Amino acid sequence: METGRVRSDSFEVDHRQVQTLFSRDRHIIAEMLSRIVVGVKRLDVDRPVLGLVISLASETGGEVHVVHVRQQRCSKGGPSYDETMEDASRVVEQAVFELRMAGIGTNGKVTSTLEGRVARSIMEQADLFAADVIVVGCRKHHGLHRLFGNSDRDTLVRLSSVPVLLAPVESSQRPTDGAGELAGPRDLAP
Amino acid sequence: MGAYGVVSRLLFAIDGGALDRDALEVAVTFGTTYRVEVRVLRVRKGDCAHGYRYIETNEEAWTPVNYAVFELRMAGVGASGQVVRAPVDQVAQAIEQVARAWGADAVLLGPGRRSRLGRILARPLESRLEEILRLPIIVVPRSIRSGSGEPAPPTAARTP
Repeated sequence: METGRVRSDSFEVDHRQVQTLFSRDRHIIAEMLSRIVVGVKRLDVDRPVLGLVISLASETGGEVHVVHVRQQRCSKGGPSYDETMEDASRVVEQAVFELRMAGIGTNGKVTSTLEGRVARSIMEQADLFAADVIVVGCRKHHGLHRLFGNSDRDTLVRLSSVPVLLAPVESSQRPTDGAGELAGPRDLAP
Repeated sequence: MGAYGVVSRLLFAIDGGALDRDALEVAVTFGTTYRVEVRVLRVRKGDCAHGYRYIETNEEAWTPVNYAVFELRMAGVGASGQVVRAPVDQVAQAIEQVARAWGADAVLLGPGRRSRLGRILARPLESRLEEILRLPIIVVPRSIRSGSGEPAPPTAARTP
């Protein structure tokens, strides 16, 4: 592996273009990163994600919008959700509480969508909130999930119109249900 | 950052294409907002099918790095540059090694040049990177709102 310092002899930069760019971008820089959407799946797993969001938002005095997506599954007995509305609301309420306790202006929402459309649901919320960045947890995958990746996460990265921050969560706290999803709580602590 | 501590070092891995423009804006934003030090990294890919011949020259690899460092410094962000060599299938490992050696707190990736089909056939870089890296990864999408329509940075010195 070759390493080295920046060489000044190969600068070939149009300085006028650079100056124009930065004079135009100053207002963007001041405004960016002040509105954060965070996708929360399980609070016990995604607590490091909230920690990351707290430090991002506290630096800019930004606002946070917590999103939790309920997934509708179609089975023999008809469509069913992977969790009750009560469980989903509890996740959002707890996340909002923790963020507000850290002094961050926060609101939250539970949305419901078809299985496999979690990323689109988060993007819709990000658009409605006019988010500057989307934060989601990323987990290590094993077996076939490792081979095929996380379709929801990949969709989010591919289609999002704002930067996506993938925050690692502890591998020991990997969800045992439906790895590769972005939302959906289980076994919540009271 | 948060549970990871305050971010102070951001590793910005560039692809060298015009799409790095958007990622550079995000790097500038992060650098100015969070007062982080940015290391611009370019991985020179070696193609093992051709006896590890490198796809670009050292000078071509340095040109976008220098440009990004210049722009970051113009915006008041502490920036440095680095070019490393790696086999074409070991780019994620090279980024991880640099992140570990430099003590990065987060990694910023541009959108990459792969098409939708390319992303299906081969796992995207951020996916491979998150398997081996325990750091936040910021991925700048292809269709970012604020960056569209910006002029492309000068590409590698291909003109005589």
